Amino acid sequence: MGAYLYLAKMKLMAFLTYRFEVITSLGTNLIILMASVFLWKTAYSGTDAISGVTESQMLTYTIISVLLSSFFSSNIEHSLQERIAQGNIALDFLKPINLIFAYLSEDIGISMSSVVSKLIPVLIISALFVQVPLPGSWLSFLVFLISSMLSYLILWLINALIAVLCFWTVQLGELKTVKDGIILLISGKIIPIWMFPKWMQKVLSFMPFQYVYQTPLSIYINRITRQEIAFSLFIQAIWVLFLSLALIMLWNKARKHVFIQGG
Amino acid sequence: MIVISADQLSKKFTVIRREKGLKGALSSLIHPEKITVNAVDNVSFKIEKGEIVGFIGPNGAGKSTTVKMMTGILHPTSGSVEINGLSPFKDRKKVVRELGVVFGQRTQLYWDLRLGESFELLKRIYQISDSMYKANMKQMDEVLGINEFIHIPVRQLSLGQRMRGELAAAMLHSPPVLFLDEPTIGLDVEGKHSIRKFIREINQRYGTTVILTTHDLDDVEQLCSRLIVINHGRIVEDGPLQDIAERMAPYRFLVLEIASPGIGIRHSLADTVRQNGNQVWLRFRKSEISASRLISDLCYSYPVLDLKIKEPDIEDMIRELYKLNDKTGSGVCN
Repeated sequence: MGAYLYLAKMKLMAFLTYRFEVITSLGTNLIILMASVFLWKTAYSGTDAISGVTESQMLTYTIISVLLSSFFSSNIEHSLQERIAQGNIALDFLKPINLIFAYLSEDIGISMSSVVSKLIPVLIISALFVQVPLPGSWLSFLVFLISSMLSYLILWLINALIAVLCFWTVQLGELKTVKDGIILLISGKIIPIWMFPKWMQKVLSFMPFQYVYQTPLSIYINRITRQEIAFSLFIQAIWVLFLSLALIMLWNKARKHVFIQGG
Repeated sequence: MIVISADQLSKKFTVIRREKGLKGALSSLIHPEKITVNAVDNVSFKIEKGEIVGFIGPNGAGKSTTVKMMTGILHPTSGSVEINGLSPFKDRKKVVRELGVVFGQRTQLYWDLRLGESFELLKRIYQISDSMYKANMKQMDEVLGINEFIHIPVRQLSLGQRMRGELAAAMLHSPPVLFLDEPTIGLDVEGKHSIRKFIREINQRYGTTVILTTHDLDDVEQLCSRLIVINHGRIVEDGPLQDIAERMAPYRFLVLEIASPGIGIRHSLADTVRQNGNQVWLRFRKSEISASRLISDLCYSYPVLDLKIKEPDIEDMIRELYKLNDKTGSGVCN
């Protein structure tokens, strides 16, 4: 356990040394925040509520979505691709630790650095210029935290599954961009799924994506009932379990496929 | 006690043959021509505890692939390898706990952070107790002078310092088996010296088994009690350096300087191979006559002013060995 914590700590330390990266990604987050805020302000001009959600709730949804996405930045695709392309993956196999947990720990370390470098600044700026994004209730805030953790795992597992493909292909090409595009559109990151046509909502409910963003955000703004919350958390847990099993299976297959580049 | 045993170990790689030019690139995109390369081909050996074994062979001979199968990184296509009776691939976590590994061309240290952080991480990975960690760090400092640069970020270390750091990192958990893949590559004379001294010391003090791949024959001469020569994925020689030298280059030379050039020098157990002016070259076999006997015989009969003995050149011998094998077959088949 100590090893995994220390891995996270080392990544946190290393990432805090890259100041330029911090500034640019903070800028990107603020642009996305402002664009979404103006989009919703325009959409709500003349109406009080869309699909039973008020303008203020929607703005909170948007702010928290940007905060979550700054925290959800995972590095696994990039780091695994680089390790495989340069052959340094060899060194990972020589450590008596579980590598999937090790990579997850590193990414959690990076996410922790986002708390300082992105989350707090974005929160302050949105509180000053948009509104204070208060949760529906203290209870919904607590459940939101639990749901967000499951969201993080779902997203990380999806990323890790794609990253493991590098063992066969070495390069991921545009796959990461395609996946990021899908998540942007159908996870509720920008536009909530409840605004989509009914048939599409039905289709999307069988996919893991909306459980990444929409579920914790709906809980935060108190949009769904207690029963629905319990059901959503259950579905999230099922996805975590299913994706974990898939990752373990793919990983074990990949292990036999290891080819070390560069001697 | 046998620490490592490899039994008919083989590794095949499938590579796509690229034709030249744009046309070739297109045709290999549509219809890739796959070639199987036998990187390692039916290799068997056993390594005893406390041995320092040198793996040598030309680039691409299969040394590193063999090491990567021994350490559980690569999965063998066929055959098996065991370390202390366990498969390094199936029981990876259990086996690698007993191994220290240094790849001369890669770093296991954290580039952006000070060297000490990497050691702190390894302490946790191998669950080294505080007292043990302290003792080992003290010892690493004595032998490798680690404390001089422990607070410097790894990316700012010189190659020699980094290599010392890598060795310390590999030995921090006192593994009984140490793999070194070209540990002296790119180092200056002083750097090579301190690394060799370290290897000898841990071998003598703890009986650490060391497996070394190298292109530096000084490493082999100074460290290895045994040599395994690999070429085209096969073992072509296995044994103590002296034995291989005896077989490959059984001759030694005695070079004499004599008082006057006209004297013809003869000895029943040595051939006079060259004579120009005052200098005479005699070739003899170690197994047939000792150097001291030959010298005393010759000094008795001839006016010898000066003499020196020339040992066969290891580098020449190894080059011969590599060449010899090129004729016997290549490792590529379709």
